[in-house]
Amino acid sequence: MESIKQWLSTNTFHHSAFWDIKKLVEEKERQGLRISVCIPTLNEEKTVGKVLVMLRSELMTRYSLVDEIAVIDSGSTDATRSVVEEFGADFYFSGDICPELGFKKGKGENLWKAIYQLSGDIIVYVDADITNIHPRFVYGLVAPLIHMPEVQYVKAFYDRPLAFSQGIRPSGGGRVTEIVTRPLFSLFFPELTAMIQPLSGEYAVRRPVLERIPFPIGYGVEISHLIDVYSQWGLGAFAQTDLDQRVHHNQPTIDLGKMSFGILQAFLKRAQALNMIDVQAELSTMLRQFEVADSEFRQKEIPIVEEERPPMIEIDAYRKKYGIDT
Amino acid sequence: MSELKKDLDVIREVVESLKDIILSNAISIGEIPSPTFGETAAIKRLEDFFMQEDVKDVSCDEAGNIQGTIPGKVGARNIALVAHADTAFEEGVDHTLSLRDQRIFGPGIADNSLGLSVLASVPTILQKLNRPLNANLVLVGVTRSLGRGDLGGIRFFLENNKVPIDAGICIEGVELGRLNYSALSMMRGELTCTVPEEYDWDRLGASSAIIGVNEVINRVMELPLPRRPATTIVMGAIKGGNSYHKRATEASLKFELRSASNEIVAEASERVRQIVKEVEIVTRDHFELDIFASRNAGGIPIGHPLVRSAREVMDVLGISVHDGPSMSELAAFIDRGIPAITIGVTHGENTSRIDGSVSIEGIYTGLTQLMGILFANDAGGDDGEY
Repeated sequence: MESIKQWLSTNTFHHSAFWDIKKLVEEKERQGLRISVCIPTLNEEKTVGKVLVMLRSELMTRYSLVDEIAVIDSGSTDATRSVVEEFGADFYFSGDICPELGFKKGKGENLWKAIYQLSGDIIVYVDADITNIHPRFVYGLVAPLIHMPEVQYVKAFYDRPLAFSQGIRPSGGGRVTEIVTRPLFSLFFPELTAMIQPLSGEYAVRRPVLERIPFPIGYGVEISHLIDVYSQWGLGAFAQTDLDQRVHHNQPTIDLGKMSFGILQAFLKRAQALNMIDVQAELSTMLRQFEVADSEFRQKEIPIVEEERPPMIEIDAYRKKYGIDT
Repeated sequence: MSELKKDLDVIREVVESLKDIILSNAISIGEIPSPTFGETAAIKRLEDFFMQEDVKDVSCDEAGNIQGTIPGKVGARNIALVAHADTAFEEGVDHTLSLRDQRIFGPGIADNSLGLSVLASVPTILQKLNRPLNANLVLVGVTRSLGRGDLGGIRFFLENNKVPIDAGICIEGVELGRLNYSALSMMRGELTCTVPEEYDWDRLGASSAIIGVNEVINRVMELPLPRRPATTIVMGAIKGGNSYHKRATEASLKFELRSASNEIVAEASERVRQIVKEVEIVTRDHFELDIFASRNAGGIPIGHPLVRSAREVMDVLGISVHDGPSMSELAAFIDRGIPAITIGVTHGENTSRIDGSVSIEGIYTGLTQLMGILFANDAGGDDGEY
């Protein structure tokens, strides 16, 4: 597709293009931008300390690129809270943010509550389980937003080694991306296939966009964002940055089944709302997987309901906090 | 409150204000594999830090060492701050570090990624203190220290460096409280025994190379060694065979002889050579003895200003001081008649294991100690005592 080719050439970057953090800070300050980093957590005591140290040291202490780093937690039962406090970041239990809105357990809920709690014009979401964390995970994502006013949403992908001896090689995302997401995009939103890793958990977004999109609280949050932003602002609102390698713990296939189930729910809901499909039947929210015990196949029923939070701008408390007229 | 105590309190406050940078420097360097003879990437990372902090005259030498200078106000003397870049862990080992329970966990962090990272943090601390030294501070990350490296990096630096070094401070990740100002005489070797694949019923010991090595060990341990000067044989590592049911055709032993006397080590080394020859004749196994590293005994007196001031700083900080000889870079300084000490940065646990760890809180004390020692030895400007 010509539009994909064009977009890849102008809106796809490698983090090494933005190594000069000092320059980024100068431009950020010239524009009067405020940047917040949100780290959603659930029992991340082993990795969150390093993430905080690596991001704070380079992006707050040495250079003032980031104005706040906050951890939004889903109710960890391990030492996540004390580790976060030890390393000097703000810690919020998601349920304590706008408690009148209730508490739902899920990463998407934390990302949504962050829009209320954090004050940045740009919010960068970084997962806490990245073992090779590096400041590029933040500056690589905010840089296109600082340099390109038309870009609203920057997604991370992890792919390209700087030196490669062969001319052509395969490129792409993980198992769920290649088996579920990309085929769906190819069918319904061909331009979105240009996102190399549509499900990556690291992205930076401008507040005016974040506050206007709904948030599934579970697995569907990333795919929903892409469809919703694309539907309202088009492909030109996106950029993507190659952050090289991301090392984290691989999930077993059985867990990827749950993830795919949630993604499909969020996708179908949007395809229907956009009149791209017409599903007459009521869809089940029960995922059925199987296990064998004593030569007997047993059914495992796993309820997965992709609940959604409305766009934050529809919440009275948010409009009041940010002085938005009703 | 003494002046020194006030001074150290100020330094400690500045060090603690730079916690993030100090820890991230340690992580950035510690996650790079840096086996002996394979330190290039870690040295490159340190070079990046030097450039970022505007350290002057940054350069790499033929041995792969990196050096950079923080010019002093007077600049008449040069103090070398040295840390070795190699660790005992190979390239393929997962070097991911983790921070939890107020410790940093990971292979090689104690010996010596943390020590090397201190060279990256010192320029930042000095800048924040806004208190330049009188002497030039020469920061040196050295290669080829451990095992067969045999202090190759520091020896090359001291041999070929154009700037005259007046004193040296060697930094090791652990153990906070060490204060080494003397070096032991040392001889380090590896013994390899091989036996033929075919079984020979007539040959004593031919049933396994392990038995051949064991015979040498038994004979070496019978050597009469003097208590004064204290002399020890360290049996460091033994390896041999692959299975339960097949005799080992190759076995090896890594060992060290240490003494405060060069003569005793030389004499004991000769006795070990003889033992190996005798066992070879009796067993008809094939032995190879490779003596690949050595150190000379020596040091500076306990009353030397460098030692005295270091002890004073450690006392004020409440650090329990442990004197003793060291086998580190210190030996190379002593060989060349340059006064030097070795100090540790923090407390460690299981330091030679993959899951080894260091205390984070201790790092701040260790860095305060280091800066305190630097300033204490800088007071004399261009007419220091050493």
